[in-house]
Amino acid sequence: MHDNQEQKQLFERISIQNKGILFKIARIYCPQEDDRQDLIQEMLIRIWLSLPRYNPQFTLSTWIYRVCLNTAISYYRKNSRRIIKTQVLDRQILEINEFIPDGTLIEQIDRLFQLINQLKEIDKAVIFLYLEEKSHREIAEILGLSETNIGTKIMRIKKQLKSLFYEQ
Amino acid sequence: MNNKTIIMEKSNTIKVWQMYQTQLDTLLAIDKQRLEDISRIKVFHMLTSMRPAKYFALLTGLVWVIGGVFLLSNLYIYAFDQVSKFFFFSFAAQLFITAIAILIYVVQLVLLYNLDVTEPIYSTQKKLAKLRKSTIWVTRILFLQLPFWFSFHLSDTVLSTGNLPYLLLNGILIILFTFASVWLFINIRFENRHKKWFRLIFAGIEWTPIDKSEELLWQLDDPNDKSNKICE
Repeated sequence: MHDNQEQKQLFERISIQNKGILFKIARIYCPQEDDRQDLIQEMLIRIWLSLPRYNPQFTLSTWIYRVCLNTAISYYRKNSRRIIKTQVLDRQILEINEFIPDGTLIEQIDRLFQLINQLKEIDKAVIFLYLEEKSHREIAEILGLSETNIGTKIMRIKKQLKSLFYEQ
Repeated sequence: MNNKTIIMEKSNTIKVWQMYQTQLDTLLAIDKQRLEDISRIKVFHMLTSMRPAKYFALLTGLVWVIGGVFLLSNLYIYAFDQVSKFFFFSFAAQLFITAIAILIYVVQLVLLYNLDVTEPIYSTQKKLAKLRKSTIWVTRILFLQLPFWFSFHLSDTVLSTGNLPYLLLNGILIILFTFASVWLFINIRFENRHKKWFRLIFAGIEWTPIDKSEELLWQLDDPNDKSNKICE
């Protein structure tokens, strides 16, 4: 589909434009900060390797969500091969530029992530896409489920989040 | 009003998420040099965690089966009358069981190569989970060869001239291991995954992905979700 140069450019564009998605997925699936860089690297590698198979019939964002969520769900920390593999990429890919001091917001975000972290892998993906304001149709397309199913799942997860919230 | 109330009661979750997005956009920068490095990574680095173990098992098994078939076919052609039938048929049964396990490994490897992370999450994860779950089957099948390891060295001569304690010991071992292999074949199931003997068998790198897969399959086939229809 692309020659190497074209693929490289597309990859850079995707990575830069979607850095937020990578970081948010990593935070949802890796409560430990040390693991997040590994997962981000793995997601980037998967994007790079899957680019030749990109099917333009799907929007690029749908495709990226699929690759990243599939990678995150399949990501297991206790994987010795992964440690060897990521030694090649020992520097940080995503760097924090500066710190914005907003205590209340940080507290609210932390709380939201704490709640999401308690969900199961698939439910995390559903609620993540819901928070990204994807339509039921888009979520269904990314996950491979029917729209009705997505609606039911979202309702159930929201209920679960609420009960988790009031338990704390 | 505390933060707790702000997040849930006013349904501000999406707003919090959007603020987080804005904050992230300001905070994050992509290291372009890193991206260059990634783009140079070879495909083989992305082999999934299960492949090396499968390759090793596959290669060892292949060498064993090919060598065994070569030996048995030569014995069959040139010395079938002289060779112990216990040895011949025990070894043949053992090779047959190993060959079935190798076939399953080959199918697993092909499926692993065909896994596509660009497919919808449900279909990819379901394939992956089922693939990992099939490891249980390989183990069950391989245990069936246990009794043959204790019968292949017997022969008509040993049976007719061997002393009684030796023959009794062999007989007991064959019966014990036949029972053990059938018992294991029947009982190696996910329902027993928390039992000590089960954990002992599956200790090691193969277990974590299997355990995780079962959990994923359970999530995918959510029994509480009546509209659990997967799109084609």
